Amino acid sequence: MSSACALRLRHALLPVALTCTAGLLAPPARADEVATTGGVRPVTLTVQMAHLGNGLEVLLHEDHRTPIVSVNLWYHVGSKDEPAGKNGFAHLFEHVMFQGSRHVAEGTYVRDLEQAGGTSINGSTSTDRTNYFETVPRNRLDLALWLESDRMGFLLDHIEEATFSAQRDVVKNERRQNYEGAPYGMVEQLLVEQMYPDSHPYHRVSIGSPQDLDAATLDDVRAFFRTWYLPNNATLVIAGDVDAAAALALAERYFGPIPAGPVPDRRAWDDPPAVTLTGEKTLDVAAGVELPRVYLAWPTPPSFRSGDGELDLAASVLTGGKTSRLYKRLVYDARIAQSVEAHEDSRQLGSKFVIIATAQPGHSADELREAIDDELGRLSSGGVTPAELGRAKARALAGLVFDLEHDSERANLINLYNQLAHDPGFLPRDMDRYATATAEGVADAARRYLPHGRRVVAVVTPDRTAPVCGVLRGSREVPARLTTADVAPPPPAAPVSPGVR
Amino acid sequence: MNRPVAFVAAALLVACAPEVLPVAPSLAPPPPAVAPQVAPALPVVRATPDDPFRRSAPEGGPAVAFVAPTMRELHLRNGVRVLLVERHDLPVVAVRVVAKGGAGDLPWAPPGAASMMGSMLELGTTTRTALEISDAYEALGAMHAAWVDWDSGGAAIKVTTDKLDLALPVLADIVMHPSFQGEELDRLRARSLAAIQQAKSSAQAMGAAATAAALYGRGHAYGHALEGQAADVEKIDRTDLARVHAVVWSPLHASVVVAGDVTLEALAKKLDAVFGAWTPPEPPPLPSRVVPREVPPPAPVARRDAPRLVVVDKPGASQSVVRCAEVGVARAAPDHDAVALLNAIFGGMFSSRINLNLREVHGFTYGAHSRFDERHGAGPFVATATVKAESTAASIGELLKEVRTIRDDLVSPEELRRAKESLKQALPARFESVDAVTQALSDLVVYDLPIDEYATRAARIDRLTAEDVRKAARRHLHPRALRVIVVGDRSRVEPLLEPLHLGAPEVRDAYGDVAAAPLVRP
Repeated sequence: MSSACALRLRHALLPVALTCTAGLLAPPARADEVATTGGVRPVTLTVQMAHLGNGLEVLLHEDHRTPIVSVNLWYHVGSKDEPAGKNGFAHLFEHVMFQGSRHVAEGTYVRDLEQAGGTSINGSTSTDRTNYFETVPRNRLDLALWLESDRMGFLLDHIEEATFSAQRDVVKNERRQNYEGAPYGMVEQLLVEQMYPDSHPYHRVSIGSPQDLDAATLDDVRAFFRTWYLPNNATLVIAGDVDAAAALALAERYFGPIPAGPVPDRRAWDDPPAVTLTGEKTLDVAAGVELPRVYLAWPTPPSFRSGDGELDLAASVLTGGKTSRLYKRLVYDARIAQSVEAHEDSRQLGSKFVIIATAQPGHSADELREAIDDELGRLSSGGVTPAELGRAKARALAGLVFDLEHDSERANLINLYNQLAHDPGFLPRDMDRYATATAEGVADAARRYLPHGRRVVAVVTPDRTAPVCGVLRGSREVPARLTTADVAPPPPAAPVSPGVR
Repeated sequence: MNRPVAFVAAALLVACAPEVLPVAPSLAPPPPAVAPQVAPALPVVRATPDDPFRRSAPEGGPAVAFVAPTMRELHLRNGVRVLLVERHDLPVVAVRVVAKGGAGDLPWAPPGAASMMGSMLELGTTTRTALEISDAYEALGAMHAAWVDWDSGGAAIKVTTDKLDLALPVLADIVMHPSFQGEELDRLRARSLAAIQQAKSSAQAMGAAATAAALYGRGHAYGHALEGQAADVEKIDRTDLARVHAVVWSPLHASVVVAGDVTLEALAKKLDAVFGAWTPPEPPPLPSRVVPREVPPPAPVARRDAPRLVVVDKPGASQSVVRCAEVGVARAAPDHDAVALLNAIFGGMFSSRINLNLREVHGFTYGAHSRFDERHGAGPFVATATVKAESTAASIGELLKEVRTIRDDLVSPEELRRAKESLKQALPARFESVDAVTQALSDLVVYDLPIDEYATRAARIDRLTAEDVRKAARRHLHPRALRVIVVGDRSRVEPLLEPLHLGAPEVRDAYGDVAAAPLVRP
């Protein structure tokens, strides 16, 4: 909130505590930035911030390109905040939010938005947050706010057993379709369970377990709502073809009267120690699929922390484009892989870097793993070339500009920056992360965060008798070899693990 | 967590909402590292005042009249048509070369050849290797793709404005001078074959393959997956690709559609510079008469004697993919707008009849939807859902019931109004990004639509009546001719299907071919 206000709300027409009006314009491109972006004119994402009396954060962005407006509401609660034995509940709850509230009849929520010409109508649940969003013609902003505020203020006046259990069925069908019935659909869950200890909020995935979903009750819905769905635990972004002051007035009308409540103190689980693996865990997974596949995963720094941006660029160097290290080696030259993909999965409490390679028929996951390790070793020792870095930066910077094309994406990006970078106007600094990254920084991040000996590996072997989503058949762990980097000074008789395989 | 705004919010709470208890400071021993079981009992019941303005949905301000973006047109010196929508709000430009003819328009081309030709475009030209093309685009941060689908071919880029001049020569080169080099063809072939093999573990892909084969038969261009089957892909050679390219990717059938941060004058110069030398081959390639739009694919006749029930076995599946399908309509159908309205109500919107029925009322599925795939010829109509295995028969029963209902009864005025508003009001969002605009422009080219197609759409939709919707339903949906395709665990679902009286099932394999062996039941 340090930037100067570029644009102020002209008249304080509301009994609203305007605590901050942070307008953030991209600073003029610096010389090195121009060099890497090739002189594209700076893009801006101007955000004004206000707080209602009940603590609801309201972020406003005027975007007059198209006569539409996006409403994007983040509740700062995700599957990481689920109580034990309630895995999947945050997501199940998200479904319940579409079933109606005191003044919004069952089955009319999405219908009324569609009728109004709404697009991008949905909600989603991640480990870190639950978001609800819709884009409507600019004259129907009031409808979107009426609907969103009714479920924030009056959800519990409507819910009842029948609709709750129907939504539980829908969620179980979603799980069957997108996880249990999907090729390799459960492998990520197996990885996550191994990467994070039982006590870590990321130990389980957001879709949850069928047992926990079955155990969920209507009382859980009430308790979850009362605990987390508070105006002072939410951020409302209104972005689009509206006047910011008028939009704020509407937000105050619909959300202002909803009382605040105590947000639980979650320091106990919201700041877990960084995950350090003690070795390389290999999971043997059997799946009713056609082609073998290998997953390599490492715990990495949280979103927007040092190293996170460099790992985005490292992912590009590894698998972006045909001359990227892994694509060229595995797919193009050796022709042992059908596909290979790497990404930094950035999250609030800790990210993970994942490489996924699928074998060509006749080749094994172990072959892929060996070739990948060889290339990772070369990246660590030989670094990144200027041309590789230039391509990775160009992709990242252009990608951010392309993201701004959709009003709904702008709205969600503002909320993302707000929750994870603590600055809704983070865009120029986000671009800066990439523009100023160095080849040494990228290679260093790869060396530091993608060590050979500390990671989780899943080797998926086709097996007609196994479910298509994959099932764990066994696992083994090779302790990391201690190096001087791990123990300083090295004890005289350091327990070096034998060259175990 | 370090969130300055949270502290501000907390301070406000105390000041402005005195009935709220502040969060108690944590003096107790460190709590467990997972969230507590349930929230502590709340001493204060929070209630939002039930103000009168909340009782009903706000009416909204005056409707926003949709103004279609201004489309400008020019022709390059060699006759290539150019359509442009200028947008200067972001430094972004999208350019798409559109070839008016695709896999469905080339009955002489081996199945899969057109699609493979599209994929080969970015894999080498007479002067650039596949790797050089990739590097050139990547260095510009360009989004890029080349493909051929049923009705058209496309080669597209999206770049920031400053990169346009560097990206255009690459785009023009891949369109004009592809080399179809043998080693790249081998690589692509191996990956295509593996992808076809992979599709065997996707129930949705299996359902689509069986639908195409059952509706059209293998003799028709639409009777295959766009990519062809393994046996087709193995046979495709360089000659097939070059022939498809020569016929379709010629300035005679190509247009360039552009949207974004460039002016018409500047664009004309840029495009003339890179496409100016593009001339039709001389003499015209054979078979010269097989040019898209001159010989549209024959409208397939629904085989009324064909088995109605098609089953693809997927042992152990806990869900079934169910599809009710028949030959639908062409994009040029005179009742195109009524079909759009019909589909929105039947299965196009989230609040469509079949989604509300199968998902919300019965809890059979995560979602049900329908679509008329309108091509140069009559593509398939499909209503589909992935459902719990035990609900397979009930789901089919409900889908068929909804088909009968929408043919028998007029849709309600309320439903009609909602669907119309949905189609009309969503128009602006269709022109939001430069890629979306080039897609809209491409449709004008590929389907010979008038330049004011989008400007007049709202008025055309407004004129439609409930009777128009019923007429469209009666014309295009036939409850007794609809094929029912089920991908699921045969031993489990087949007995469930008997009460539907769809007759003996025709069993097809993962690629949609009729399987020989009937299910042996003890």
